[in-house]
Amino acid sequence: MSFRHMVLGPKPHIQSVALYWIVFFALVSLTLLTVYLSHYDFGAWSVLVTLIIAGTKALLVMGFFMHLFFDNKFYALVASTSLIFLSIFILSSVLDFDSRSYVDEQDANFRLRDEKVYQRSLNPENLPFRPGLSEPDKALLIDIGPGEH
Amino acid sequence: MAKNEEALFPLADHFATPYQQVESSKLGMWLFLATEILLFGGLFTAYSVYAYAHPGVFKEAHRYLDVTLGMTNTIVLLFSSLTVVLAIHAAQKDKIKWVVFNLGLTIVCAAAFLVVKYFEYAHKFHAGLLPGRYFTNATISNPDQAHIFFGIYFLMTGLHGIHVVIGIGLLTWILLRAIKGDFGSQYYLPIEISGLYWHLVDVIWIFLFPLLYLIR
Amino acid sequence: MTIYENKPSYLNEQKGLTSWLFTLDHKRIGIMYLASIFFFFIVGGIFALLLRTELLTPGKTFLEAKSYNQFFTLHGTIMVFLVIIPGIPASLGNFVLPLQLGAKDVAFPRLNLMSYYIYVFGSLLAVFSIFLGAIDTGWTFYAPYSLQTQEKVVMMVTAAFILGFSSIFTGINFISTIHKLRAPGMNWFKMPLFVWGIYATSIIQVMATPVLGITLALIVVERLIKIGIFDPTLGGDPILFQHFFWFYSHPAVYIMILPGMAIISELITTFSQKKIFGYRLIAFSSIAIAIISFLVWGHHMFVSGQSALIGMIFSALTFLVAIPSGIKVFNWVATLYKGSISFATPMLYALSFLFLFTIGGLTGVFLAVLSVDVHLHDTYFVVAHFHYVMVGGTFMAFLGGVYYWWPKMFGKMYDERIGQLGAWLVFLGFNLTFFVQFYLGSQGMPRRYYNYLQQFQTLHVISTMGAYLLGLGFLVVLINWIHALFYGKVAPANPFHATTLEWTHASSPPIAHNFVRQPIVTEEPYCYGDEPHHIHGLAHKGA
Repeated sequence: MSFRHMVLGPKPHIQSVALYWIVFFALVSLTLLTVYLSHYDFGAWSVLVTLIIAGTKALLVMGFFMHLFFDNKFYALVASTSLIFLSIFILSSVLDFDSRSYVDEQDANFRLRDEKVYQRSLNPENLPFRPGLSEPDKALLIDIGPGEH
Repeated sequence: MAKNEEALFPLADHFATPYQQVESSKLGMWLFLATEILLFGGLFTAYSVYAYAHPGVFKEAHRYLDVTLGMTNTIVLLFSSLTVVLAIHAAQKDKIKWVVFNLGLTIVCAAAFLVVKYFEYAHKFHAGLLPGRYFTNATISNPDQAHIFFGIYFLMTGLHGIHVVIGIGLLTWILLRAIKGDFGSQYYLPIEISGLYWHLVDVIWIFLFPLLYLIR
Repeated sequence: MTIYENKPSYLNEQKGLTSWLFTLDHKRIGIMYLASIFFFFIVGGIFALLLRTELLTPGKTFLEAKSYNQFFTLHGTIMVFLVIIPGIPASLGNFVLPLQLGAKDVAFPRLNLMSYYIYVFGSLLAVFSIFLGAIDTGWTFYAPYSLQTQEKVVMMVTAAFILGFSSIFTGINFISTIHKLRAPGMNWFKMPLFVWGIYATSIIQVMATPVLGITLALIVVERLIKIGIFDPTLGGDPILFQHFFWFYSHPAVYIMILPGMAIISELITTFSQKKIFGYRLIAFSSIAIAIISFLVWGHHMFVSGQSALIGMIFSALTFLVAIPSGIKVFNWVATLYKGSISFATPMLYALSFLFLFTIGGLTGVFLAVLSVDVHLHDTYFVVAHFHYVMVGGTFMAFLGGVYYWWPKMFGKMYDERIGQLGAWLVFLGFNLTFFVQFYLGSQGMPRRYYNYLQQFQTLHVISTMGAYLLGLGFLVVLINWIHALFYGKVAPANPFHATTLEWTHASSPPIAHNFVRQPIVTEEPYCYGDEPHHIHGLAHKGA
C-alpha cells in the first residue's frame, strides 16, 4: 500500500462525463414519459406507475450523481434507512385511516355524510326527542357557557 | 521535487489523514440528508392521507396547476444537478475555470426555478387558490375541501423553495471559494458536500412534481 | 481551594470566559451542557413540587385551574425537551465519548459548539415564553386545543423546534465520530458499551427528530394561517396530529433511556470488577431497541380513535420492543454474579436503576396490552410508569454517571458518605412519590386533573411527601457536587480501577488533547485480571 493510499485513501473514482450526460438524458426522458402517461387514466395503477417512474429517477440521481453506487456502502444504508422509516410512517397512517371500519362498521372514516343528519345537526332545536320524552329534560342538559369552551 | 499532495488539503486538527476527514464529512452530510428526507416525509404523509381521503377533490385541484411550468422546473433542476456533478468532475481534473462555470450555471438554474415558481404563485394568489382561511376561489367545486389541497401544495413547495434558497446561498459561497482558488484535484470536498445537498433538493422535487401536478 | 488544580488540564490550559464560550473542546462543551441541563432540571423540578403541593387537597389548594394546567405543561416540556433528551448524550456523551474511543475530539467540533448554542437559544426562548403566556396544552401539544388556546403556543413550539436541531446535530456528530475516529485497533466489538448505547441513541436522534420538526412547524402554520391540516373545523384530522407527534415522541423516549442503559453497563462492570456478561447481546440489543422503537408509536393512541386493527398491530410490536431491554437487565444481573461488588455511590445508583427500571419497564408491558390500556390510559398508572423509567431509570443512571466520571471531569473526589446519603434519600423519596401512583391510577385517578375525588387524597398526600423527600435528596446531591468542586480531594487517574481508555490512558482531568500519545487498543473491553482490585476505602463484597 503506497503512502499516498494510506494517507489519502483509495484513488477517488472519477466518473466519465459521458455517463453523466447519459443519466441526464435518461432523467429527462423519464420526466417526459411521466407527463405523457398522466393524460391516461389507469385507475388505481396510475399512482403506482407515477411513483415507480419517480422512484427510478430518484435512484438514478442518488446512484450516479450522488455516487451512492460507488461510495462506501454505509451511505446507502443511511439513505435507505430513512426511506424505510418514512414508508412505515406513510403506510401506517394511511392504513389507520383505511382500516377504521374493519372491526366496527360505525368507525369507518371519511364516510359520505348523511344529508338528513347533517341538516338536522345544523339546527339542534329541531332534533327529535328520545322515544318516550315529550320535551327536553332540562336537568339533563349540561350548560357550557360561552366563555368556557 | 515531487509535489506534496497534501499541501492543498486543509487538514483539521483532530483528523489524522485527509481521507479520514473526507469520509467523515461525507458521512455527516448523508446523515443530515436523512433528516431532510424525514422532514419532507412528514409532508408527504399529510399529502398521502388527505389524497386518500379526498381523491376527487385532489384530482380536480390538480387541474389548476400548470403542468408545463412544472415540467420546465423539473428539467431545470435536473440540469442543475448535472452541472453540479460536472463541477466536481472538473475539480477532480484541476480545471478550475470549468468548476466556476458549472457552479455558476447551477446557481443560474436555481434562480430560474425560483422565477418560474414566482409566476406560479402569482397565478394562485390571483385566482384565490390559497391555503386555509385565505381560500377565495369560486370556480372550484368543493371549495370547503379544496383548500386542504392548496394548503399542502403551498407547504410542500414552500418548504422546498426555502431549501432552494439555502442551496443558492451555499453554492454561491462555494463558487466564491472556487474563484479564490481553494479547490483542486486534492481538495474538492466542499463542492461534493454542497453538491450532495443540492441533489437532495432535486430528488425531493422529483417526487413533488408528479404527486402535486400529475395525479389526474 | 480553587477549582483548578496546578497540573495542566483542559480546565486550565486556557483561561477566561471567552475561552469557554468559543471553545471547540468537547470536554468543555460537555461541562457547559451539564451545568445548563441541571439548571433546567431545577426549574422543571420546582414546577413539579408546585404541582404536587397543589394536589395535597382535592379542589383548589393554592393554584387556579388554569395555572395548574400551565405548570404541568411546563414541567413536562422543560423536563422532556430541555433536560432529559439532551441529558446524558450532550453532557456525559460529549465528555466521555471521544475519550473512550481514543480520539482527540468529536468529528465536527464546530458543529458541537453550535449544537450547544442552539440548545441555549431554544431553552431561553422556552423560558421566555413562560413569562409571556405559558402554554397549557400538556407537553404533547394535542390538536385541536393547541390550535385554539390563547397562550404563546407558537413561541414554545418554536423553542422545541430549535432544540430539535441541537439534538440532530449532536446525533450526526456522534455517529460520524464513532464510525471514523476510533483508536487504531478498536474495532466495533472492542468499543465500550457506553459507546454502543450512544450510537443507538444517535440513530434515533437523526431519524426521528425531523418528524417532530415538521409536526411543530405544522402547528405554527396552522395557528398562523389556519391551513386545516389538524383542525377538524377546517377539514383536518386531530388523529393525524397524534400520529405525527408520536412518531417522534415514542423513539424519543428511547433517546432518553438508551444512554442511561449505556451508563449502567459501565457502572455495573466497574463496580463488580468483572467482565460484562453478554457483551455482544447488550450491544445488539441497543441497536434492536433503536430500530424497533420506530414501529410502536401507536401504543400512545389506543383510545384516540385510530383503527382497532392498527391498535392490535402496535400492541403486538410493543411487546417486541420490551425484549431487548429485558435481555440487558438479565445480562447486567449476570455480571454482578460472583463479582467483587463495591457499594460506592455510582453503584448505588446503578442498583437503583436495575430495580426501578425493571418496575418501569414491566408496567410498560402492562400498558402495551390493548385491553388493559383502555382502562389505564391517561390515569396515574401511566404517570407512574413513565416516571419510573425516566427518573428511576434514566435520571438515576445520569446521577450515577456524573458521580462515576466526576473525578475524570474535575480531578477531584466527592465526599462518599454524603453521596451515599443522597442516593438513599433519592431512592426512598422516588419510590414514596411514584409507587402509590400505580395504585391511584388503577383505581381511576386521571392524570392532568386539578380536581379529584376525596377518596384519593391520602395517597396524594403520601405522594407529595415523597416528592419533598425526593427534592431534598436532589438538594443533597447538588450540595455534594458543589462542595466537591471547591473542597474535593485530588483524584487519581483511575480511582475505580476501570479498564476503558478514559481511565487507563488519560489523566484526571485530561489534558486538552485528551491523550499524550495516541492509544492503541489490543485487548477486549472490560478485561479485568484474575485479581479484582479492592476499591480503597469503600465497603465491598470480596470475591
